[in-house]
Amino acid sequence: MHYRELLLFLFKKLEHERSVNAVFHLLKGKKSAQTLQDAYLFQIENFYGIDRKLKKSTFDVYVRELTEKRLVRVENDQAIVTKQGNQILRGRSFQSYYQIKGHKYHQIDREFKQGLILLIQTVSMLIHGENKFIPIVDQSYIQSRVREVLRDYSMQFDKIAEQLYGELHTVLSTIDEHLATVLLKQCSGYARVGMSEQQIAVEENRNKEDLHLQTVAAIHNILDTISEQPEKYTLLTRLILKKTNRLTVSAQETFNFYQAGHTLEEIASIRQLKISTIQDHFVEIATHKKVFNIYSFISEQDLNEIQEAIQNTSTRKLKPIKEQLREEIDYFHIRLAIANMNDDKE
Amino acid sequence: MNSAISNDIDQSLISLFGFKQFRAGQREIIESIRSGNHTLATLPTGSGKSICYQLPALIGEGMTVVVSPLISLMVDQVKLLKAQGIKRVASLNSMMNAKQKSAVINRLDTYKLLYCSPEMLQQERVQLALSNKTIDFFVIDEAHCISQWGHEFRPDFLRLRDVVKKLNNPTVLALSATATPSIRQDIIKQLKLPMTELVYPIDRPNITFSVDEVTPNNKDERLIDLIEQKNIPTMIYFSSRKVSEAVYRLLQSKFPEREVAYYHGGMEQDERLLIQQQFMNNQLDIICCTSAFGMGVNKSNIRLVIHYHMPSTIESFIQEVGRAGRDGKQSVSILLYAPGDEYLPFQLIQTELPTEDEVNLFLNENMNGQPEDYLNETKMRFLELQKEQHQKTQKSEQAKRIIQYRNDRERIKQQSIFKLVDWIKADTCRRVGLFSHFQPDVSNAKYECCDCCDFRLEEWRNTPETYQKKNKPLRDNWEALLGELLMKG
Ligand SMILES: Nc1ncnc2c1ncn2[C@@H]1O[C@H](COP(=O)(O)OP(=O)(O)O)[C@@H](O)[C@H]1O
Ligand SMILES: [Mg+2]
Ligand SMILES: [Zn+2]
Repeated sequence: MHYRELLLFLFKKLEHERSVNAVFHLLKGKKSAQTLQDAYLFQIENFYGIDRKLKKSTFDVYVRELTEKRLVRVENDQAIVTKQGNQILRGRSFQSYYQIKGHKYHQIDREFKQGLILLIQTVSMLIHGENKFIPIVDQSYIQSRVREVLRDYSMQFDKIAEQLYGELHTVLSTIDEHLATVLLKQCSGYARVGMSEQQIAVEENRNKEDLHLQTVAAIHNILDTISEQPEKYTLLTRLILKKTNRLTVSAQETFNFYQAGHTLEEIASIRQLKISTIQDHFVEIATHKKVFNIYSFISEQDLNEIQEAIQNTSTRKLKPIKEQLREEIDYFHIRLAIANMNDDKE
Repeated sequence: MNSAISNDIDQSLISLFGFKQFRAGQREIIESIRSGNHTLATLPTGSGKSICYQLPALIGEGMTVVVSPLISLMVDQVKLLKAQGIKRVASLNSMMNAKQKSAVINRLDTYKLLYCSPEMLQQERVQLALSNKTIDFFVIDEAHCISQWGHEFRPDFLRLRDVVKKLNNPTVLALSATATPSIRQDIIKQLKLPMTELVYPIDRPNITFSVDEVTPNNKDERLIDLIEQKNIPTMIYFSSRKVSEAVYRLLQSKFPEREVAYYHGGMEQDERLLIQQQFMNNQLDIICCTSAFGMGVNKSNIRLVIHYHMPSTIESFIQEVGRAGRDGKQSVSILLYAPGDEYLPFQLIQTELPTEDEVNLFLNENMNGQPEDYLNETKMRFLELQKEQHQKTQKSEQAKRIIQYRNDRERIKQQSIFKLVDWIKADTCRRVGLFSHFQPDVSNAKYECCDCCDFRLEEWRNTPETYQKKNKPLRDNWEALLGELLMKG
C-alpha cells in the first residue's frame, strides 16, 4: 500500500467528524486523550503512532497532493473524500494492512528495530574479528541492552551468531518476503553499511514514507510472532524494551492520588485543577491501566448500554451516542466506556 | 626531565593510538602544555589536533575538559575514541536528557576526558562538580569561536575565562585551524592569560584550486559535465538543504551507475549516521551535503571537493576544502561561481542577526510576550546573551548598544563575504590569496597549483583510483542478505 492510500483511508474514516490534523496526530501517536479515543472510536487504532517522526510539512505535502488529484476536498478544515477517492478505496480493505498494530507496538517498535540492527552489526563484526567499529545506533540505552545480551552469552560470538541467524530465519520465513528484504537491507554488517529507507525507496521508485510503512509492518509482524512464542525466540525477545509508563506526567500524578485512595473530586481540589481535567486523566488511565476499576465510576448496566449505543450508532460522534442514552449517562461515562475498549493495557 | 617526557609520550602514541610518529606540531604542543604553559596553537584541518590533548589527557593524573562548539563534533569524537577501545571519555551537552546528564556528572571520577558544550559549562551544578576535581588541562577546540573577529563567534565562549578561574586555573590549550593574527590576538585578550603561541602553516600543498565561472543557468550543466568526466570520490557542498536534495536527484537520474547520496542537518540522526558510514566505507561515490557534513569525517581518499554555492567565509572554505586528499595525493577543489551567488550568504546574515525592530520588540515584550514566536533560535540566543550582558546598562541605552553591536557583527560578516568574492574574482595565484591571511609564507604546490597559475581543468587527468568500491547489497533476497550479515566466510 502507498502512504497516500493510507491517508485517503484514514480521511474516509474520520470524514465529517474530525479535522484534517486528527490524522496527523494519529500517525504521530499524539499522547492526548482525544487522539487515543478517536483511534478506538473510529477503529483505526492499528495506525496509532506508526510514524512518530512524521513532519507536519511532509503531511501537508501529501494532503496537497490528494487535493490536487481531486481525491479529497478540504472544507472547514475537514477532509472529504471525493467520488474518485471513494473509487480507489472501494473493495479494498486497509483496516488490517499487513497486520500493522500501532496501538500495540508504537512504544516499542522503533527501539526493537534499533536493537536488532545494532545486535546484527555487532555480531557480524565480532565473528569477523573486527572488535573496533562505530556502532550504527547511537542511543546509549540500546547500546547497553545489546551489551547485556552479549554478556548473557558470555561473549561466545559464534554461538550468538548461530542462534540469531536461526531465530531470524525462522521468524522472517513467516512474514512477507518483500518486507523481510526491506528490513534486512537496512541492516549493517561486516561487509557493508545498511541502506536508509530513503535509499531503498529510490531503488524501488516509491516514496520514503511508503518504505517506512513497510518497515513498520515488518517489525510488527516479527513482534507478533515472537511474543506468541517467546520461548522459541529467546534472543530476539531480549531486544524488547518494555516501556512501563504510558501516561502523561500529569495523568500519572492523578493516577498516584487515585491509587492512594482519593476520589476524583478530592484530586481536583488537591491539585487545584478543573474537574474536567481530572476526568481527562481518568480517561487516559482507563485506556492504559488494567488495575483501573471502571466500575467505581459506572455501573455494569450503564457500561453495557453505552457499548450497545456505540455499536448502533453509524456515526462516531459522541453527541449522537449520548442522545441514544438516558439523561444520567454523561460524556465522561461514554468516554470511559470507549477507553475501556482498548485491549492492550498494562 | 624533558627526554623522559618525550619518551613516554612516544610510547603512548603507539600504545594508545597505534601511530608510530607524531605529525608536525603535535609533539611541540603536547610538550608545551605538559610543561604547564597556556598554549594557543594553529594546525591545519585534518592534521591531528585532537591527539594534542587526548594523549596528555589519557596519561595525565587528573582530568581534561574539552569545550567544543559543535555537539555533533563532540559526539563523533567520543564515539571514535570508544571504538578505539578508549572508554574513559564522556560528553556533556544539551542534547542529553536530565537523566543522562546526571549520570555523567555523578560519575566524573571515572573519566579522563570530558567533552563539554559551552552552555553546559555555564551550569552551576557542572561547575561545582568540576571544581572539586583536579583538572589538568582545559582545552578549547575551534578556538576562533572566542574571537569576535571570527565569523563563527559564539557569545557563550566569552564566558570561558570565568570558567577557567572557577576550575582552579588549569593549563589552557586553545586550538584552531583558521586563526588570523588578529583573531589570535583577540583569543589571548579574551582569555586574559599569558599564552605560548605555536603557529603552523595551514596550507595544503597537495590540493589544486580552481574557480569556475558559470552563468546561473548553466551551473547544473557544468556540474554534470564535471561529474561525467571525473569518476572519483567527490563531495559537493551547498548552502541550502533544499538545493542539496534537488541536485542529488538530478545526479541520481543522470548517473544511475554511480552511488549518490545527500546529507544535511535536517535529516534524522539514524539516517545521517548511515550515510556518513556508507561514505567512510567507500559505498558512495558522490555526496551532496551542507556544512553539517564532514566535521567528524576523516576519509583519506576524497579527490574532488566542489562548491556548488560559495560559503560565507574564507575560513569555512578552507575547512571544507581541507577534507580533500588527506592521504597526500593530488586532489582538486572547484568552486562554481555564478554572478549573484553572493546574494545567498548575504541573505543568510539576515536570518542570523535580529533586525532593529526585533531588538526593540524583544526588549519591550519580553516581560509577557513569546519572543520564540517571531524569532528563530539563533536570533533568540543572540538577544538573550546581549540582554544579560547589558543588565547593568540603563534601560534607555540597552537597545542602542545592542543594535550597535548587531551592526558591528553584520559588518564583520559582510566583510568576510566580500573577501571571498574578491578572491573568486582575482586573477592572481589562488593559494597565495587564500593562505596569506593566515601565515607569512605559502608553500609551493606539490602538483598543479591553481587555475590562475598552471591548472586547466579540461586537461586534468587524475590517476586511476585504487579505491575499491563496495558492492551494492544483493537485491531482493532476504535469505542471502541474512547469510551475508551473520555467516562467516
Ligand atoms: N601522528 C599521527 N599519525 C597518523 N595519523 C594521525 C596522527 N595524528 C592524528 N592522526 C589522524 O589524523 C586524523 C585527523 O585528526 P583530527 O584530530 O580529527 O584532525 P583535526 O582536528 O586537526 O582536524 C585522524 O584520523 C587521526 O587519527
Ligand atoms: Mg578537530
Ligand atoms: Zn597558483
